[in-house]
Amino acid sequence: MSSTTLSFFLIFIIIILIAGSVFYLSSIKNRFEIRKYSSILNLRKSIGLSIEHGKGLHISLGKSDLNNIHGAASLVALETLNQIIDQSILSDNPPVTTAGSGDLTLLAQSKHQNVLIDKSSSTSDFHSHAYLSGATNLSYIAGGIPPSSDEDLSTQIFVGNIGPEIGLLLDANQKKNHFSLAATDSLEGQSVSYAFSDDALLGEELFAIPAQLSNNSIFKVSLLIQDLLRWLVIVIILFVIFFKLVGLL
Amino acid sequence: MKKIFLAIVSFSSGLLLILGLFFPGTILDSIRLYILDWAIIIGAIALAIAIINLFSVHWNKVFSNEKRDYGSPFFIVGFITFVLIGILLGPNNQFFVNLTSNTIISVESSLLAVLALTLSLACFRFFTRKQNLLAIVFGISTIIFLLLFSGILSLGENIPLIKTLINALNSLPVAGSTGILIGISLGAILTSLRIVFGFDRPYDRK
Repeated sequence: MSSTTLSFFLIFIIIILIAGSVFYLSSIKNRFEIRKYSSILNLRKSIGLSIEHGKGLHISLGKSDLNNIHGAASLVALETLNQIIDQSILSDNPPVTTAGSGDLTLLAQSKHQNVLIDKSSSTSDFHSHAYLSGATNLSYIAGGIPPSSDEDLSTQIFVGNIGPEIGLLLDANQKKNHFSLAATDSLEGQSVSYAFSDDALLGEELFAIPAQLSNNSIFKVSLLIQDLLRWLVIVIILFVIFFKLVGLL
Repeated sequence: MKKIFLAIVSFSSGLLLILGLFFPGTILDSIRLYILDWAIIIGAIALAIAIINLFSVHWNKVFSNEKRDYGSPFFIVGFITFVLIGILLGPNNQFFVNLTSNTIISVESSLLAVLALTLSLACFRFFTRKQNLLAIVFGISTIIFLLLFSGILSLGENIPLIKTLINALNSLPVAGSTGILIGISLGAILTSLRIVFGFDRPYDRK
């Protein structure tokens, strides 16, 4: 990256920080109501039904390590896991989590361990509730198919970085008539998810999941800034088109 | 106290990484590379621990009476065989390299073949499951781009109007994917900043 690009990026981050502080410290955040996605409402409903019927949940966190370009999607997946575990704490059947990377697996296990400590049950069980299903792209999917096809399951959530191979998991899920929600940052994965799953989140909607599932104001503010920046990008694109048409660029 | 310490470590390492990126060739850049090396080493250790955990999960499935998985014995036998051969012959031994790569390639090729078949079937099932405007647009655009990429319309490339139309249609997927990627990038930047400033703590159990 050239120094000019980096300077622009630095300015961009400063804008985000200033906007974030203004939103977080002011009462503006309370005036904005976040539009609820129907997919998330369906997910909440499905989680509720799973708890009621004593059925299980399967959460797949994707295959990306935290230290690469897709790490943000993995972090969102972890936050989603956190929220879902909190919501399903009353269930007799604890959620099963599979991941395709070592660091995600360990972090997911610590979330499960925390819930088991809260429920005062045996803490040794968390190892089997969150595990690595495979270390490569397709082995991760292959390892995820058995928990996806479990008869005692009713809801499946696929969040994180998962490519078009997500189709195999969603197909296994469809055969058992489980509810599925897919949200991935991979373009190919999104198109396959849209065709296969009951509900799919496209594009930046993936990053809105924590705000949709939680009442934490920091997620709400983050989503507001995301929207603000999106409009800023749209305005810039329109200006560039205008200047190009006029002949100034 | 522990939480504050963790937040300080997270914030300072995140800040050093960003500053190292903005000031290449300085000491901050060297620190950034050191931190990234540590992250890679920790990631590798985490993977090793996760693989051992995977082995224990399958071991428990073999010997448990409920939810017995019939794939688990194959995993255990395969895992022990590959580990023993790897230890005895060494990771660079040609026989070991061939054995592992041939196994992985054959298994992954079979999965890709199944995926191709599954995707074709999904195309047929798609319209029976989803009947809304977005689904219709999705279906029509799939057909158009399949025709476009098959080269069937290249016959009319000598006609100026068709050539312009093909060029315009070809730029549509690029424009769409760029739009989605911009949205994803904005979300990724905000998620990263939330973690750097300690608002979101994936490493924290509570």
